[in-house]
Amino acid sequence: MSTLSLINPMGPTCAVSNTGPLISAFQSNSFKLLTQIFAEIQVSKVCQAELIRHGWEAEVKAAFPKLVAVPLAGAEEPQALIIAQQIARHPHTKDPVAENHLGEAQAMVIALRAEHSQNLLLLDELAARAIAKQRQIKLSGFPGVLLLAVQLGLISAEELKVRLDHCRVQGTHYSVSFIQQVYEMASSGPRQR
Amino acid sequence: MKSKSVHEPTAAVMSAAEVWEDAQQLAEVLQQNAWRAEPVVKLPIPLSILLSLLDTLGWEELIKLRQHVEERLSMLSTS
Repeated sequence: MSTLSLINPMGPTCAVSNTGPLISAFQSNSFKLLTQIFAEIQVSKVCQAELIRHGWEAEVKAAFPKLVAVPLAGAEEPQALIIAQQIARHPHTKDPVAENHLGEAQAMVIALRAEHSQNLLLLDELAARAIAKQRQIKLSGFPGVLLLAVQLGLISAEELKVRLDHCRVQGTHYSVSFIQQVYEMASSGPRQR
Repeated sequence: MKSKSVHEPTAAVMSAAEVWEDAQQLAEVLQQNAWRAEPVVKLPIPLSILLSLLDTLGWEELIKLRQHVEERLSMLSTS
C-alpha cells in the first residue's frame, strides 16, 4: 500500500470519532489532515458536549461542516448505556462509573449503524477499544491515522512525532516511549510486535 | 480565553503495536471504499486471453480459482 489513490478529497470514507482522538487532532493542528482522509467525521452529542466542556468549542465550530454532531435515536439510548456499562466493568478501565463512558458508547452505537458498515471509528482508550472489537467495529486511534498519513506521504515521520509530542505536552496520554516507537515504525515499518 | 483540557487524561490507550494494526485497518477500509466508489466498466475479452492469464497465477491463486470454479459448476449443475 503505497499510493495516494486511497485518498479522495471528496472520498467515500467517513469516520465516527470519540472525544479523545478529536482533542488530539485539535491539539496538534491535525484536523485538516483528518479531512484529507475522511469525507466527514461524526461525533455523538455527548462527545460534542465533552469537547465544549474541555474548551474546544471554537475548534468544533470551525470544523463544521466536516465535523457533524449526530443525535442518537430513542431506541439507541439504552444500547449506549449497556455499552457504557461494559466499558466501565472492563479490566482496563480506571473509571467504573458507566455514565462517564457514555461518549465512547454513543460513538460505538453510531458506528454500528448500517450506514457506517464501511466506515471507521476513531478511538484511543484501551477498554473502549476492546469492547468495540468485540462488536466487530473497525477502528483506529489517532496515532494510527497519523501513521497512515505518513505511509501515504501526506506527512513525514518527523511531523508525526512532532504532532504526537504536541498532544503529550498538552496532557494527552501518549508516553515518550510510545511516541518513539510509533515514530520508528513510521520511519522504517514495524519492528518486534 | 477558556483553558483547554484533555478527556480522561489517565485512561490507558493503545500500544504502539496496535497503532500499526490501526493504520493497516484504516488503509484497508480506504482501499475497499475507493474500489467501491470507482466507476465500473465492462471489458469483453476473448476466452483465450482469459485462459492465458491463468498461466500467470501462482499456487495459492490457482487453488482459490479452482474452489471458485467448483462452486460455480456445482451451482450450474443444480440450477
